[in-house]
Amino acid sequence: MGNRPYSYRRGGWMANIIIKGKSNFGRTRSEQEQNLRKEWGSTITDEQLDKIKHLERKAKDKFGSNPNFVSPIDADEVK
Amino acid sequence: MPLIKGPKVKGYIEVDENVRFMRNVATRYALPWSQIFFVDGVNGSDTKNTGRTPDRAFATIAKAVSVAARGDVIYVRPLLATYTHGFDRYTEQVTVPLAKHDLSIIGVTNSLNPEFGPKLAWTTPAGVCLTVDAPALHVENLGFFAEGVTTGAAVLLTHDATAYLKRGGDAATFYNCTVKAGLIKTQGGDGLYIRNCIFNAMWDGTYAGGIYAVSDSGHNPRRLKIRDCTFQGGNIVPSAAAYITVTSFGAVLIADCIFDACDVDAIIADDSTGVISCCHFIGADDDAVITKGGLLVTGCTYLQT
Repeated sequence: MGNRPYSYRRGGWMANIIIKGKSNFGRTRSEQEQNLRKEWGSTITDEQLDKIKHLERKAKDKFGSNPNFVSPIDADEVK
Repeated sequence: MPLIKGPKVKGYIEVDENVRFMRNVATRYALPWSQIFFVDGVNGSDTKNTGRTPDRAFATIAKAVSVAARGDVIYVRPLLATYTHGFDRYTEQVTVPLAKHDLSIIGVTNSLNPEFGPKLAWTTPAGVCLTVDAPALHVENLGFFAEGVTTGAAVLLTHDATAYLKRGGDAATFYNCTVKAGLIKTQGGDGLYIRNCIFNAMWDGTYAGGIYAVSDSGHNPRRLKIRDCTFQGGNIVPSAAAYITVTSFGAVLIADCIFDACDVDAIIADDSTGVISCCHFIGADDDAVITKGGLLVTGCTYLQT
């Protein structure tokens, strides 16, 4: 059982569970953009990022879901 | 990395305390895409890395496309820049197969300097940089360089009519890309959208940068949309070939674009329908710069040097 500690209270060996998500880099384009700027740089302008956040909020209000991959093509349509 | 610790009893982990999942656990809503991949031609590795995080990026775009599935997103980092010849270029021939539809390939560029254009450069002396058999590809911030390529195409969107094995011309989108001395060529399809892109001819004007939409497949191609694009000649010389060639397309929209001087008509259309709207040309009038071929022209301006 290696070095895992024994639980006398429960009478069993301790074990670890590693929970992996599909991606922790961001579920939406705006989350991905903000994380990407910490690593490599930007893919859109600050103005487009604000517009994409706006579109994501609108989509969440309308469809109840916030993971949306909004492209700057859509953001440019926001006036 | 989150961990849950507890005694293992009869095959189960027992947890005495309340458990609060902060993230990455059974999300309520499915992601519209499956995974994110990263490509870094300087620090990445195709053999050692998973491509799932920026610090474990792949080295090539081809590797990322090969492991990606439909709906995935690929972020690509520019190569190094040198004073003498600008940014180094990815030199791959990549094919996006039919099953990998709705794929996004996005260059990471400095958007604070949009005038310079996308820094992520991609070229291949052997032929087409990107061949697309899958529908709904999204390309962003990439710079394609195709000087001297005999096929003339930097990007080839394939289409095979009713065989339905090649659908690259369907619903593809190109945003903020640069194409120099090469073409985005589509063989047909429905809904190709090219926006905010810059097309440059070769330095001596011999190879145009532009869009070539021809119905090779004869399958009623339609809804080609080109907006907010700039078409430029070579180094102080006009382009020797047309910037946009459209044949047998329906519902074409070319709007809000700027066309530099051209030795032939800037737009050559044939047997097509649609509108050219609010564009700016160098020439005397629409007859001097457009072979209409069935397209209507409205709201354009013409400047003569």
